[in-house]
Amino acid sequence: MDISKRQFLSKVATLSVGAVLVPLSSTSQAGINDQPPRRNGETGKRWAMVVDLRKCIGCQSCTVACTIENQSPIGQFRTHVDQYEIQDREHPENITSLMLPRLCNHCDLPPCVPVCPVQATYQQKDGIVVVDSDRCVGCGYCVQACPYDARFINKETNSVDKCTFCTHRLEAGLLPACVESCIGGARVIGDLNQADSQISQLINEHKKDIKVLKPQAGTKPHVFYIGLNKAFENRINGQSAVWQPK
Amino acid sequence: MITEILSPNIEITWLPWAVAYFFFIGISFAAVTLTLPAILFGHKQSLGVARVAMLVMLICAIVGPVALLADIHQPARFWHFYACITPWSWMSIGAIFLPIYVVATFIYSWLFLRPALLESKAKAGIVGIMARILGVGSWQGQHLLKLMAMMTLILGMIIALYTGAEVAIVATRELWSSYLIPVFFFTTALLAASSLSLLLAYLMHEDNVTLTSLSRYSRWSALLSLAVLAYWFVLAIFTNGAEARSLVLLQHSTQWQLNLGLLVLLFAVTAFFASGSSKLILLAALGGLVVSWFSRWLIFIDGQTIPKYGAGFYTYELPWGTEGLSGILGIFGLWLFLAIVLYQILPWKNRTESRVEVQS
Repeated sequence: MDISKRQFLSKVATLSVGAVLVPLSSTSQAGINDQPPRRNGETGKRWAMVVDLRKCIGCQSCTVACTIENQSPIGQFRTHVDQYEIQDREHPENITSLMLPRLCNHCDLPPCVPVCPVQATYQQKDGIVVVDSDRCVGCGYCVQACPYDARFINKETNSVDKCTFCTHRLEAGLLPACVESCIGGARVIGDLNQADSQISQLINEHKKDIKVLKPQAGTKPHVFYIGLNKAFENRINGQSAVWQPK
Repeated sequence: MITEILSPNIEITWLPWAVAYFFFIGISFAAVTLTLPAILFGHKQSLGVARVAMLVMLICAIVGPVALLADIHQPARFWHFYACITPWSWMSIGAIFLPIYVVATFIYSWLFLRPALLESKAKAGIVGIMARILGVGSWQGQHLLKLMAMMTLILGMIIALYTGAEVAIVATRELWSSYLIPVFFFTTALLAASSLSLLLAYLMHEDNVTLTSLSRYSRWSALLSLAVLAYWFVLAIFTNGAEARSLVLLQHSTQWQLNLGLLVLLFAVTAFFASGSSKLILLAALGGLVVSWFSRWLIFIDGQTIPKYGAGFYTYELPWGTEGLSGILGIFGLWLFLAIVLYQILPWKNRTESRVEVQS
């Protein structure tokens, strides 16, 4: 091989190695795992939900209404109500129960969003975290990243599915199916940016008693609970009696 | 005392296909490193290792991405990865580099085989046909081979980095959220790569030098994996990071105690057998493969049965279908099929080392 060919190949090699490394350096500047800009949705609004546990009776109306509205497959839920039994260690005869509605927390820093490799899951300007199911490749990375087990791969669509605060209903001026169907009025949805909205007033009124799930996760959840015992803020330290669909 | 009376069982999302992907792609990029002593540093005695590792690298570079495609629930939408490049997602970065790496392994093994391909052009049968197709021109390309070795190594390390990082950044899964994950993936991948190469070397009747070298790689990578595991326990006991939170979650589970104990035992037995007689090193090779697969199974499959909020564990039973056992058998079947085909149609059997320029 003559020298010019050799020099040419060595330059090609240098360029190739450089080309391999360029994308990594540019991504590190862009911040891997950083929150991408929000898109779509209503500007100026911040949708959130308050769940008043004192009013929840665990009837699962919300679970059923959500399933009917959003057609989630059997055994897969966008929202459900966990039920717990709490026994006093010192006075075992003292038993109480807790009904805990669970759904996507539409976090301000949703860890599910930056991991999505195709930007199918994103946060709207109004704070609602949604999935473009036509774009979703079903890799399940967001399911892993969600701290609340609020996402799942829909068995029928093979795409990721989750609570959207029924954004399609909100856009039409309707309440989400779970809020609409709640017998005790335990679920309240509203715009946090509106000082006179019911949710803003509730949060102000119960400022000291407002809690979120897994606050230490640093995700800034936007589903707020009234009446949540501290023992339920983080991962449950207890026994399980898992229900499983046959 | 809290008892969870009612809560849905959340099914795992990353299926055994994911275990297969991380297993095979790990073997592939680790096998690249096994080829380097001969190709890059001219260590003549390592040519047998390089030849077998090259075949292992090539097959696993094909099988791994097939498993990955099967794991995404919308495989026909794989092109979305390239239509919507997302530089802030590790998975997207991986999707960019994975095909480049696979192509690099093709070129690397092609350059490695070139002397044998040129030699085999006149042969009858399928090897001759393939040699005439792939052996275009008469150039040897040995300098390109070294360049390609470096390129494939860099790309392989990028794959190692992304596969480790994409798991380690999942902060909500304490078991995954550890900087030791990429390291553990690498040491166990090296163990599986040397173990698989050892089995193939035995079947390809490679000499004792090759078998001994590979068993030495197996032994050291098993010991390294054990050291990483031990360091994980040190972090879990003496710090208060994700490792410690994992241990809190798992310490009362008999199943997890047994699994972790079995993992330690398998690493130790593999390391022990790998320094034994020729029959024992084959057992070590099997042990190395089993423990590498098992460690990924524990991390991914059992790891996903740990609820992120609820009490206890979710249940998982291996299904019989493609999402379970038959999928696993299928992907290993694909590996075997490719191994047989690539071994038969390419001139691996030629003593290519006599034609590869090596610096003694």
